[in-house]
Amino acid sequence: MTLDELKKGEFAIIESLLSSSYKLKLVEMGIFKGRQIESIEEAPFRDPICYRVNNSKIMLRNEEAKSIVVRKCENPLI
Amino acid sequence: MNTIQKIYLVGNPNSGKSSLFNQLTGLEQKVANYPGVTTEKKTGVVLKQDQYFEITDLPGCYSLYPNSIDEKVVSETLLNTNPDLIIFTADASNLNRSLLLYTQVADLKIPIIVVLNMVDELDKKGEYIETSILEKELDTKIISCNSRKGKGIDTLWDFLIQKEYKISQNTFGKKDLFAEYHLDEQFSYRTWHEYVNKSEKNAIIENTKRKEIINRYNQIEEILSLTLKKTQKAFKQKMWSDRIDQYALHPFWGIIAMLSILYIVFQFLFYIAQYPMEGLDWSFSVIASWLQNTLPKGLFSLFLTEAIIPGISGVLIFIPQIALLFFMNTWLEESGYLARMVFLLDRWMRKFGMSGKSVLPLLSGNACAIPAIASTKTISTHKERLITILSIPFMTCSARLPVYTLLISIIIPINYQGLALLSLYFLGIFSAIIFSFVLNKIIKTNETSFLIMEIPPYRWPSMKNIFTNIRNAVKSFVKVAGKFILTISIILWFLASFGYQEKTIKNVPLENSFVAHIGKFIEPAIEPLGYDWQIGVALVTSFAAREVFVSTLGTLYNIGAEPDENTMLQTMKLQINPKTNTPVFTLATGISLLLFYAFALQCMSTLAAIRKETGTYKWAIISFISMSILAYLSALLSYKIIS
Repeated sequence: MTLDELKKGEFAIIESLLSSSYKLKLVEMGIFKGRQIESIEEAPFRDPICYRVNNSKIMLRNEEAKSIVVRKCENPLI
Repeated sequence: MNTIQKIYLVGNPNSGKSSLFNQLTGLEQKVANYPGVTTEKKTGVVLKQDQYFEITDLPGCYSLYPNSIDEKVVSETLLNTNPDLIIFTADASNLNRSLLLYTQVADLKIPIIVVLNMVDELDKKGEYIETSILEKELDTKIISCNSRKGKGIDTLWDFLIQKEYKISQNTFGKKDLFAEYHLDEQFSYRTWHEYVNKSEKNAIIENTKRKEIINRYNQIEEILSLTLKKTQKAFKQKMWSDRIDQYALHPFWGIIAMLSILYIVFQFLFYIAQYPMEGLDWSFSVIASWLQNTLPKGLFSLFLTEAIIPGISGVLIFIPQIALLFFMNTWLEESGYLARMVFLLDRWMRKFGMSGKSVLPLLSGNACAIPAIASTKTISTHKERLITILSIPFMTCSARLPVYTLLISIIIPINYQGLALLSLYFLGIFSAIIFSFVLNKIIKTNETSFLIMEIPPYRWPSMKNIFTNIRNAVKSFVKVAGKFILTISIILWFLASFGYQEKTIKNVPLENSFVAHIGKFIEPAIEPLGYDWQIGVALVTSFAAREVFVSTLGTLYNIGAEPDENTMLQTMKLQINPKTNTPVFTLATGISLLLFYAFALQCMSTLAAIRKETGTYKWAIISFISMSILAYLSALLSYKIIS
């Protein structure tokens, strides 16, 4: 699944990033393979969505979230 | 010897970098404008113990690979100049990400020191940093500060004065990462950046950059496992920032809260600003009449009272509103609420080719377009930024208000005057939206737009920061707009006081002056709109700043030097057009003029700001022409329909 499908309050582990012009920017913000990400707040129409990753809150548009392949995880690593 | 120590401040956005800069330089800063490069870096020179320090605040960024115009400045400055020291500000509560940029900057082999900010926030999370171990791992000196409250600044000064600056001997970006490029024996991280800047952007280089960042993050994780410790009281407590955000970012309550905040902000802006504005207006008219009575009658006294003083007051009158606007902007930004507004509004703004980051510049346009246009720098996509800049002049800036008030009180019955003014505000917003929608369809781009933005924790803004920002904003407004308004009012005074008579240029009454000739020359063009030549002159003179319209009409209709508002209204209502023998100010001409002022880009300073921020004359000319055509056509159409 991709990150935009993750529902509010769910956790996931990032598997890979699809190619895009902002891939490097995502990596710089700490979004890359192996990192845990949590969906925390949704703007009107679920776009953009606010995620917690790399110890901070980052907002991504659905377009960007679609380029992030994730695996849902039930128990968050603390 | 007194050599100047060149010091750069580098760090992530929201890491307390600007507050540190304000603490170090106090009021000794100057905002430097770099022509061509559409961004600013701030510099301040400080004298401490017989030693000069030139401190430069570079824009906040996350890595040395830039994503927007302001971030580009950082890598370019670091690669092309040789500072004596870099003060790196790190956010202790988000050390992980701060250290990413630190390791890149340290690898450039420039003397560096780390200022650790926001240690109190880390403490609230139940964690602390073993500073001595971190110093060893990073091979640099670390000073803990609270730059908002000014703690630790003295220790930092002691270090700066002793000048024991040192290059970190640890290299984080390992050579084998870049092995496939066969760069050369002397390979350094600096040569890698030079190589990247010279080469076309390609997938192989992008791949290496990503590998480099991930590799750095992995090293940072190891360092943090040694240095970041849990305190005894470590507990997992939901931060209050998160609690507020449950409502502030909520699709329904978030919008309600935002609208209320914006409402309060605008009430504040208009109601508070009007008092100092009226005060300034009054004191300038007192000064002018005093000079008129004291100075010997003559050209010089006229020049002083009719060109210089109105020119200066035309600049100063806007200062209260600009100061309040920046108070509001800095407050919204520093508290962290601005990022929440971006989050709530991005989806809507995108429909018009803009981004959530366009909201603040557009709102600021309701006070004055010039600082509003300058504040678009943070928008990372070129197209989104351009559309925002070009839409701002439609918003009802405060210079339109005197024109609107005068015309409305002539043509609209008293009960509907408030409603009329409100509709003009909505007309501004509505036309900005339509214009951006059209631009979005016209402007083509290959660039993918994206919004990857941090939502920082809520923080209490520091008053010192707010006031420094206000001071800088007012200063740059006086510099940019003041130049134009003053110059044009001097030129206009000359054109309005002199005329070509008996083969020489002479001081003549206004109706024989150059300006009157211009007014009569353009009369055929404005006649279809129902205007007489006097209005034509006022249209020309209001080019310096729109509110000049009012004073020009006052002079032209011979109302005397000190027009009382009531007598002015009466005289204007009684004006008869000699050609048609009908009153000049009817509902039709009034509405037509209102629409003209709503759409025409009658402001040289705004045009200059557009030129500066887009880097070319092209967009200034395009927006001037398109807005003028729109103004003329809507004025013509409304006049024809109503009359």
